[in-house]
Amino acid sequence: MASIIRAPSGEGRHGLKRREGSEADAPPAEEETQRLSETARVLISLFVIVILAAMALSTLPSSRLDEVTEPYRRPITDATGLFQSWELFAPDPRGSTLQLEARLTYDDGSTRTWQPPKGDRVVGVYRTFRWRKWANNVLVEDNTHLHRAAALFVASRNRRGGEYPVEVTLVRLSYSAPPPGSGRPRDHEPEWNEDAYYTLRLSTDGRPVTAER
Amino acid sequence: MTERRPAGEGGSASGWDAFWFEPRPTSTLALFRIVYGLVVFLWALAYLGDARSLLTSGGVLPEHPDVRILRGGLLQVSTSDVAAVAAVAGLALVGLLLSLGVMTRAMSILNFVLLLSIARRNPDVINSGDSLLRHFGFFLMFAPAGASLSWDRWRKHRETFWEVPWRAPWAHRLIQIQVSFLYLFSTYAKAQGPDWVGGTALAEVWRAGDLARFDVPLPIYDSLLMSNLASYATMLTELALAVLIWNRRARPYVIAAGLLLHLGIEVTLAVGFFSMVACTGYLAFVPEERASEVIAWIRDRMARSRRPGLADFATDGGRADPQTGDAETATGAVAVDSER
Repeated sequence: MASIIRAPSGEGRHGLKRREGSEADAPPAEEETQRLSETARVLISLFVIVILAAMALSTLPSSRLDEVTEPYRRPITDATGLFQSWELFAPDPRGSTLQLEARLTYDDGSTRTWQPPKGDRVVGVYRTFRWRKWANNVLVEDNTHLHRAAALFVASRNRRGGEYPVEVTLVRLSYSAPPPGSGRPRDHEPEWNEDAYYTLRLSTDGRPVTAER
Repeated sequence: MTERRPAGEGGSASGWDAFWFEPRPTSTLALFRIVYGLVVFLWALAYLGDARSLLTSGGVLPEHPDVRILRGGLLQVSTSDVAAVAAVAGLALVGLLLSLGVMTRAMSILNFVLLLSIARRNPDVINSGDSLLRHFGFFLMFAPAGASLSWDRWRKHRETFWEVPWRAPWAHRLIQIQVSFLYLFSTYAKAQGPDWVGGTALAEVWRAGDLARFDVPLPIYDSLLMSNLASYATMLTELALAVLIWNRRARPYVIAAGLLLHLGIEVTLAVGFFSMVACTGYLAFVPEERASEVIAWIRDRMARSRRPGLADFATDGGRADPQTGDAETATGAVAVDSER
């Protein structure tokens, strides 16, 4: 232990001295050491047990135990945000490249494409990883609530002379890179697959007219 | 860090009491708070430019996704551009103040509330690093994070600024357990996946171009053997970080392996602040005596400074003479920087 202590005059280069050995293992003066009362320790122990149990139970796979404990665990993880979800590239990572693209058509027949912002590799990625995360969620077929909002957002960001595009189509672009052992890098002549999975038609003032999946 | 200490008030404390409540130096917590606050600052700064697009009614998610009472947040109350920008800019300021230890308890509460509100306004742009940052923030609210090396300490105990008070470490322990949980549950999830068990998982990850930051060199990318080794090494390292990090002897090696793992992630994958936050969590495992030595080293460096203010600060926290306004040397302390 090396608590920093004040040295008496003339001791140590800069008035600094470190406690060493057994003397150093002792806590500092009582005013610098706060001990909790018995009541506080009991209450904190209960808090700790409840929090840790809720955290651990939030990782349970769908099971009877999960069903039984969920009504008790859920309010705690909801209120604290401590839900534990650490499936980092697990159980199985996807091996393909995904890209969201929006294709816009204007009233005069002209077209434009839009893709989420992509930052530079050094600093920009700390900002644009959120856009990739969002795009990956928009690309999920079941996330229907995100498709319309995404199309409207893209339309509003691509007004031309105050007029909205009259059609926004969300396209899922994907390609599978060469597997290990092929001798080719990931982006060697990628063959993109296209899947236009959602179309929103709008009036020129931005009101949604129809949507198609 | 987890070594047993004799109970201070007679008799041996139980294992539970010793682990959670036996007072320990707050030096490690101080280092964790300083770095954590800086990470929050950077996190908020990186979010600021997109706050309007990602967090307001005119953005990618026009409505607050969940309005149940326990799932709400400050941005549920106001969805205006101003509120979103203020929340993120406010968080950046809170991160800085937390790092400096200014009104530490209040800042740690504000930090958690803002992180939670921002995450809940748009959960579709949140990744594991963001969640981990928020979880650390939750536990930090209960910790004596401003007890050492903080503005708060300087303001209240200027003469003994450099001393390290001892406190019950229960909130600090929760931060450590959160680090352990992260890797334990991550390893468990990986153990369910055939690609991880078969050792080809990282080959798959490296093939996802949208996740890539800098390209993995072709000899590694193209080698199934390298993919096998890297995949198994990842799982072993994560398991060690979950379990062996609690062993005092193994800890330096485990943390070194963890730093290497996150360096690899940081260089090859664009996953935002995940590695930065995870490595910040490792600071919670720095033994208190090492953290105290770091604080002593900082004080030594300042004491050698030719700038009078810094040298005085190193001596006695820069205690001002009430008569003259000059910094004075405290009783019992040596005049600093006599060569000057």
